Amino acid sequence: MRVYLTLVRRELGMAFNSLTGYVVVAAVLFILGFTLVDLVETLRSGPSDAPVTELFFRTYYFWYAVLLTAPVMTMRSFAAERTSGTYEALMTTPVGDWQVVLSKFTGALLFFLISWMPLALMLFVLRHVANEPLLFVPGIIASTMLGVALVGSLFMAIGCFASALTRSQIVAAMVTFLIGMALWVASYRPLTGLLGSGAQARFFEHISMIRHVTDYSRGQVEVTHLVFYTSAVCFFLFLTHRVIESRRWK
Amino acid sequence: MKTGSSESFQPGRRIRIALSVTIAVLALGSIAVMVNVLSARHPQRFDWSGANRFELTPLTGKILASLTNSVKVTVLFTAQADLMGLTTGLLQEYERRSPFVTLQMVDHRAEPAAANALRGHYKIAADAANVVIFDCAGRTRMVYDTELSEFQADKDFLQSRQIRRAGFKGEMLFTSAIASVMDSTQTKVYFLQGHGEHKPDSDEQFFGYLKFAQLVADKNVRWETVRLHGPKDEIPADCELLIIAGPQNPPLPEEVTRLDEFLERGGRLLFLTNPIHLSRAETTGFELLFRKWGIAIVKAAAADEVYSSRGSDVQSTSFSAHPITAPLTRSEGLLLFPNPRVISVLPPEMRGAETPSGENLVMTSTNGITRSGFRDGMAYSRAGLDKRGEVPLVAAVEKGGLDGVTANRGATRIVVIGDSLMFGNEYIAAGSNRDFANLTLAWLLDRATFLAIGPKPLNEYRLNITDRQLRFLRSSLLLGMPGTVLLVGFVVWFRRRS
Repeated sequence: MRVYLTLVRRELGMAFNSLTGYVVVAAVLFILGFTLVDLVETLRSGPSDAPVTELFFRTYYFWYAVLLTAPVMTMRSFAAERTSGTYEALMTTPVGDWQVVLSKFTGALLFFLISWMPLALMLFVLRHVANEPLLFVPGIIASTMLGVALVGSLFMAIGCFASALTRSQIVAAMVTFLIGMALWVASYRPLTGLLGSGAQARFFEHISMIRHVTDYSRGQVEVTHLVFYTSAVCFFLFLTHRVIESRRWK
Repeated sequence: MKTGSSESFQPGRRIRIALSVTIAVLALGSIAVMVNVLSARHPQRFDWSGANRFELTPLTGKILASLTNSVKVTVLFTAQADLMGLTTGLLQEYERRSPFVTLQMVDHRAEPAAANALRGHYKIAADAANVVIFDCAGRTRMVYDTELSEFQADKDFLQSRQIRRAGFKGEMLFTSAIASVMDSTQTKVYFLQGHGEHKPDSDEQFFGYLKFAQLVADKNVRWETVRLHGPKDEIPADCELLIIAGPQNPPLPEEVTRLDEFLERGGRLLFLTNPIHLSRAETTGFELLFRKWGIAIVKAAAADEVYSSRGSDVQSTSFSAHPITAPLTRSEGLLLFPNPRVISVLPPEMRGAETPSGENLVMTSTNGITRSGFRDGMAYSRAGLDKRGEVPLVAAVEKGGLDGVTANRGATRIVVIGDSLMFGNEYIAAGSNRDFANLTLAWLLDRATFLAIGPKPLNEYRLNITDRQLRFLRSSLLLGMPGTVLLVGFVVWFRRRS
């Protein structure tokens, strides 16, 4: 466990000892702030049936932020180690492959969560400025943050997998972006009403991240969604582990 | 003797490794799929919002549990629609609770092709607003977004004209719609014929009522025509609503008696006066019937000196807080009356003890004027005799609803509209006339079956912040927070560099 924690600390250190980490966090904060200001202006002009948290996820800004920042957050995980030559050193230390994979994933996920945590703070500020208690319902904020964390964990797992595949950070980022984009487009399909009501529709409904996030932003915590994200994360981490392990097969 | 390193390049070993990896990946993938299928079959939901906005009542649960046929629900809304979130959230709960309910969402701005296909299939007007379509084996029921809210007028409504959305009737209407499309025995609406009324199957531009009849059919209600001339003619017992659309000739006394009996039994009636009576300077012949029920069909045309394009027509934006017109107030709707007559509830001093009290629903602006003089088929205003100010154009009354008193049919409801042309094929598409027709039908057809569900109280989220506060938010959210993080980043970077 100590080894695992040390590796996680090392991952976070890598993120926050460089300017890139801060630029990514600042970019996420800017997108969050821009979305909230946009929503505030909308709510000033007329009432809405939905709270700010729900309106926030009805916009595409959340997805832009996740789709664009997740590749940047994870592209370094394995690819940068390979390029700099530290990968071999790391893998020859008495550290298990799973410890490496899980620490890389945890480090990336913590980085993602740190960049998204200010969302709760922003809503809190908004609630005080507007003096509107309904803007900050703790249960809804908690479920919203849970939804953000679940989506983030999936994208971080995909990013770790993509980074493990290649030495090039650019290629890793592109692969993460493409898989994420494909998932997002698939998420959008059930909302188009073009799928009918068969097994295909149920499948896309089940994997629709847009639906999941909308549910969480309403304070509705679905166990089905939790199972989907947990299983998908496990699957991608398993694939990452297999890729890491593949060095022994050569 | 082979070494370990050379063994790793043997094709057999490589195949074994590849097979092992493939099997492991497939096995994990299969486990993941199975776990997901299990969780999808046994859904569990926890509500952390504390408001239970999407919790269904036991009555809805019972109806969903009794479903045996598929019900396809299509939400044809724009993403920006006021009630989009509540509507889809609630319908997702229906879908979650019953495997027979399937939900589709089509944004008619983002997906015009899909929306047009749906409009063509369900014969929905191209300019129709947001609508939820329930379809079970071809039996359809539409619920328009204007029907979904319960409104509450401000205390000073007459001055402020402010209407607040106080409740969401989604569950009541959706459950009712599902029960309605599941039931193969449709309720019926009858159009009275025989007095020169508008024809519900006519596509004639101004006088045809085909588009209005389609609105009736949208409510999963079958319409037929009925005549009351003959000695044995009766209003059928299954008549949920009788529509008398612009009769040109007066009824026989026995017809009036039958209509009155129908109303006494808790019948519902929509009456629209025909402008032809104004040009002939005639009464309609229905005056006495409606006077008994508290509504006066005045022998005078209504006009508005400001809100009118031809002089004889009226454009109205002045509505009461009645359930039919409150949504129009809220959406700042505009009704177009091509040639209206004055329709008003009786003032208290003219009402008898048994006369129900009603409400004027639609008025001209304060620039309205009555025209009770007629010359050469034209109405004119008579100085000293005609009234200036808000002139009522539509009135509604409701009476009863007590068991036994009205043969258990519920409350009698009557709406009288001072211009039948406004629901003709041409004018129904003008302004908010279609919404008004739809809301009128919804109120008149509303029965107590699912009233037990009741509307859910609704929170309206509104931000009352000053320009200064907005500037503070802009600067802190767009500059302050990201800027601080960047600054810290530069400091770290600079220190490490130096």
